[in-house]
Amino acid sequence: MVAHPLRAAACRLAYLALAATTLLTGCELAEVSVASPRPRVIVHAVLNPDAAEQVILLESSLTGRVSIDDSVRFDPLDPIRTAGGEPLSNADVRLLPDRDTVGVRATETRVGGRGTGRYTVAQQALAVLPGSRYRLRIRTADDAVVTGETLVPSAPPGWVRGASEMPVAATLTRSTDTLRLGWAGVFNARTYVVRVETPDGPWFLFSDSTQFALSGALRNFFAGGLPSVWYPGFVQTVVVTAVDRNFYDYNRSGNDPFGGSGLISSVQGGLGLFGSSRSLLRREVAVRDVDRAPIDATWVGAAGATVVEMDLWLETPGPTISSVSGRIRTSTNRYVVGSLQGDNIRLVTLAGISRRDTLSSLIGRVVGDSIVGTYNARFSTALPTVFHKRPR
Amino acid sequence: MILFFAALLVTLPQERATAGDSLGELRGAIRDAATAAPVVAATIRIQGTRLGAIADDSGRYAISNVASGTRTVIVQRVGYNTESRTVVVRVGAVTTLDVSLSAAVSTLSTVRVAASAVEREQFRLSPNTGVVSVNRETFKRIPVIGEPDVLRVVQLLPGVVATNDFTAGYNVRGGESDQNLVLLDGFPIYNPFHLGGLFGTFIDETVGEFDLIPGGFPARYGTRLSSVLSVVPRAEDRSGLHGSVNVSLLASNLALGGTIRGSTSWNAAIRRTYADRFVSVLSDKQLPYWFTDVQTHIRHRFANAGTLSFTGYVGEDVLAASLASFGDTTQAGGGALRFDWGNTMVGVAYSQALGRRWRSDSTRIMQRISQTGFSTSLDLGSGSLSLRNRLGESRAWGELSRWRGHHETLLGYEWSSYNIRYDVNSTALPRDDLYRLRQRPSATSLYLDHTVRAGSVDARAGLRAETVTGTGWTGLSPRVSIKWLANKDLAFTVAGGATSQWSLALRNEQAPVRVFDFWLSSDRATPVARAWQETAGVERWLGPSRFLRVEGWHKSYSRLPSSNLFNDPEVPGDEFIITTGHSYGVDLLLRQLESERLSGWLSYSYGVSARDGADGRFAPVQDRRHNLNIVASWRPAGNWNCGARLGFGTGTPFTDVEGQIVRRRYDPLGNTFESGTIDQQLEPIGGARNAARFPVFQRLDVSVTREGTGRLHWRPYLSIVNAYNASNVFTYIFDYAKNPPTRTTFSQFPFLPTVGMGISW
Repeated sequence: MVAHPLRAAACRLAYLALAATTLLTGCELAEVSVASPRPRVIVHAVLNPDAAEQVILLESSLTGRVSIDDSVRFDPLDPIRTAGGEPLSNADVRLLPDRDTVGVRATETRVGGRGTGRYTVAQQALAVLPGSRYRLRIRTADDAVVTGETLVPSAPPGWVRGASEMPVAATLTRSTDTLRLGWAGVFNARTYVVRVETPDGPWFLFSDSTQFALSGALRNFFAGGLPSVWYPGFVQTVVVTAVDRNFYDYNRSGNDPFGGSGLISSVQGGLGLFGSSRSLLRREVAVRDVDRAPIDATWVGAAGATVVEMDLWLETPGPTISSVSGRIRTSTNRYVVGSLQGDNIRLVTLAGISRRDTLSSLIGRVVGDSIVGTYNARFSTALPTVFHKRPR
Repeated sequence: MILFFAALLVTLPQERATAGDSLGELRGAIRDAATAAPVVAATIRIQGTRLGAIADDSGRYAISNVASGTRTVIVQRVGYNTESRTVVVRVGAVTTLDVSLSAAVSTLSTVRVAASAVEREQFRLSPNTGVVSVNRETFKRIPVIGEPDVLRVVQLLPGVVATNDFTAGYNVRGGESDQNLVLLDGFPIYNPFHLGGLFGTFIDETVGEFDLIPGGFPARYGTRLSSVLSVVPRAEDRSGLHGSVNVSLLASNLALGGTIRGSTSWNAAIRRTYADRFVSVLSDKQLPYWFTDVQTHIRHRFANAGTLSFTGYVGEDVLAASLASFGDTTQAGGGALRFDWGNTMVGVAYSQALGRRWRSDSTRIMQRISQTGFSTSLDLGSGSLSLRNRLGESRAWGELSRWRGHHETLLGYEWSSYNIRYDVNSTALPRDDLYRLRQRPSATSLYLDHTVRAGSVDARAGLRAETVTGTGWTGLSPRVSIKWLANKDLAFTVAGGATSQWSLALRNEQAPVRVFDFWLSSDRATPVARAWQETAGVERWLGPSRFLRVEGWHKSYSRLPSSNLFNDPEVPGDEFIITTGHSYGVDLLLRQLESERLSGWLSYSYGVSARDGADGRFAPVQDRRHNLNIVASWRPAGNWNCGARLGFGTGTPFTDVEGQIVRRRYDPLGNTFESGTIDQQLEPIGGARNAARFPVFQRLDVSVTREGTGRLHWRPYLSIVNAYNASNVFTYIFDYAKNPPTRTTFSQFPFLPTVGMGISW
């Protein structure tokens, strides 16, 4: 999901040159306060016929009227305030099927008595159907009116809600395998999105083709440092969705960092996205790799009655420091990322797939066939501190 | 380009003969007294008349219609002492006068002579308007930013705007920065910049002089809308091996040159930066970046007065490192990064004087063939994502020149074949390229230029016919230029014509820095850009080495493709949108040539530019209304030279940011917008396009250079950029996530001293 590759490259290069020239010349920086501009209404809404409810996010553009606290933990029920935004509450938000003039009014989610700017329409109130056209009509508390329209990608006869979201298991040996995906073409779809969940955030790409191959060597060029997409030890979700033109245009475009234009909005009276998406397939890919490095093994530790088994791999060798990844075999959905520098090892156990949510951090050394370490005091854990190697 | 013109002008203007005059012809050759090598571009004048000529590549000259009797002939050339000869011209006969010039002992004195001659001769003999010529000795005296740089000097000339300190790019008379044709010895160079435009590609030791033609082009120049910058390689005419070594804080270069048997001259130079080494020594940061340039020029004169020359240039910028070097130390990083880009150019030129043919006084042919390329290669993560592009231009350019009496006719052609390729792909995605573009147009131009020099009027009319395959476009570009010499020191000029451009840079003019341009060609979807321009001016010489020139200009763009920020990579042909627009203004140049202790110039430009696009009328980023540059070089007694440059400019436009939007990406798994797994992406929301302006720009640069003497010529210098540390705004970055919101200013060059040393022999 990138803008024009040449322009995107030029934009990155401009930043690079800016950084380089700043570094070379030591440009001074001066910061001053400026006045708050007039706020704009921002909308993010993607209709999904497989979903139990339709979600519309309504917020204000950032204007400096309030300070954004980016240290709060993300709350999916309060997804604007806990993710850097300023919600717009108490708006009249309606989804209207084609030719309907009244539509269904969305309900605002409230957390702790406060409006969140998250508005939902339950499936029971309005079942969004593939191949149908829907309109969005919003009247904010300040009487601003925002509208939009989308055409949901079609589905073949016999389509069953939610069926395409059922996961199918797959395996990928990273250094040797390529994951090949194929799906039937969808009428009304502008294009397809192939998306992989990774510890560094999602990797995604638009594809006009109905076939796509993902090599084990793929790197995430949307994340800093160009990390791998596939992490040995992880079970990573791959989804393919069909999306409408609004979705495609909004996600392929972006405002230029200097001029502030370029974003393709699909709503009138505000900025943002009112689009639609339909799931086509889902794979749960268990990633592993060929054992090559001494760290590539199962490591077993015990603390009292608790036995912990870890599968570790050398994820990416580096010139001085290497990445490590793996999973806790004895727990479900517990993954490990870390680093190895000489004998020094650092292992972070994640709460889910994201690198941001950590449960514990072990810092230690690899001594022969053992890992001996201590846990960071920030995390209270009764996990073992000594692990012994066991060949897989 | 002066040398090139000179090569063509075997015989220059003929003064109108009055009835009853008894006329004769003067011919001869100018040679180096020490080596007997021909002295190219020497100026030969008949004192007390407007008659004169410039020696061709073989050092020969011919002046017809010379009144018979005893005449004084003055011969001048940079690097040589001026010679004066008395000769008796016989009625109806050819009188031969060969002159040997001796090399000047003092470099400074020769500079005075030559600079005066070139500018003054242009004033007297050329109908070109607005041309500014700067020779090597002049631009070496201007304070430098790390390295002496031709393109930085161009920025100081009238009609030229540099949008900020961090770019060696330039905009001429309201035009966009991709509308400037840059020629090295007549061969095009596409991105003549290094390090995001911070430095020009030309190694100053290899540059003899350059001309900037800001408007009123003759028909021989096409392919760009706004200006022609013609860089002439330095020709080493001394025998033996000569060279120089220059060391600055950023780079070192080595230049060598000499002549072989008096008929072949050559020079070659190489430069490499070491900013990467400096940064790692002075800080814990890394700058894994360097650039190199290699430039060479070889010229051979045949006994039959033909000249064959070869010019080559290779420049490369490289950014190469392990991504781990940049990243969080808890990550190994993503493998290797390699990013390189650069120009290659090879060109061969042949010119031949044919003598009296086709009922002419003199004829000459010229043929140039070149291959120019610009390529970039970005490889992230050892093939995980690679972007490659290459622009290649194969070009042939030929010209026949014919002189007869007061008439000069130029008939030429230009043919270029372009090969443009862009590929974005990933070895980890076994599918077709992520992005792929191919363009292979060819352009053919025919032109005719006719100049008449009659009495006090020099007039030139030309026509250029052009066609570009794949565009369905064929166009005619008429050009007219007239100069009226009211007296020997005062001339009025008018010029006008149409220009066309089909090589277009895909760029975002809003970005304050550009590493380089992505060039595309016009096609069925993107029309050939067209502009009309008119100029009117007056030039007054205030003494033998001082002149004042004022020129008003107007440009209108009927079709100007500009980058489409909303284009769809899946839809070929929507890269550009068509805008229209106009620019007008006045340029003033007061110049003191290098003939006095104090030399330099004052240039002032007033300009207004507007463009009409899909979002209404706006001022382009180069719309600096007032622009003043004072450049001075002062040579006190001894071997010292002091240089200074004072720049002042009103603010350029920018788009004010009126808030920020949090870009949210839909997560189909959770039917939500992100789940806290990535940083929120903030994007600015722009207000009216370019409706705001940066504050006034001002900067004083000073330098002092000691000119050594003797066989080994030491030349240390100290240069201070922004001597009084004026705060000039480079760009603003806004933060609307704070209360109150803030604006951070990135400044342009702060106080920046640099030192360097040159040694030549």
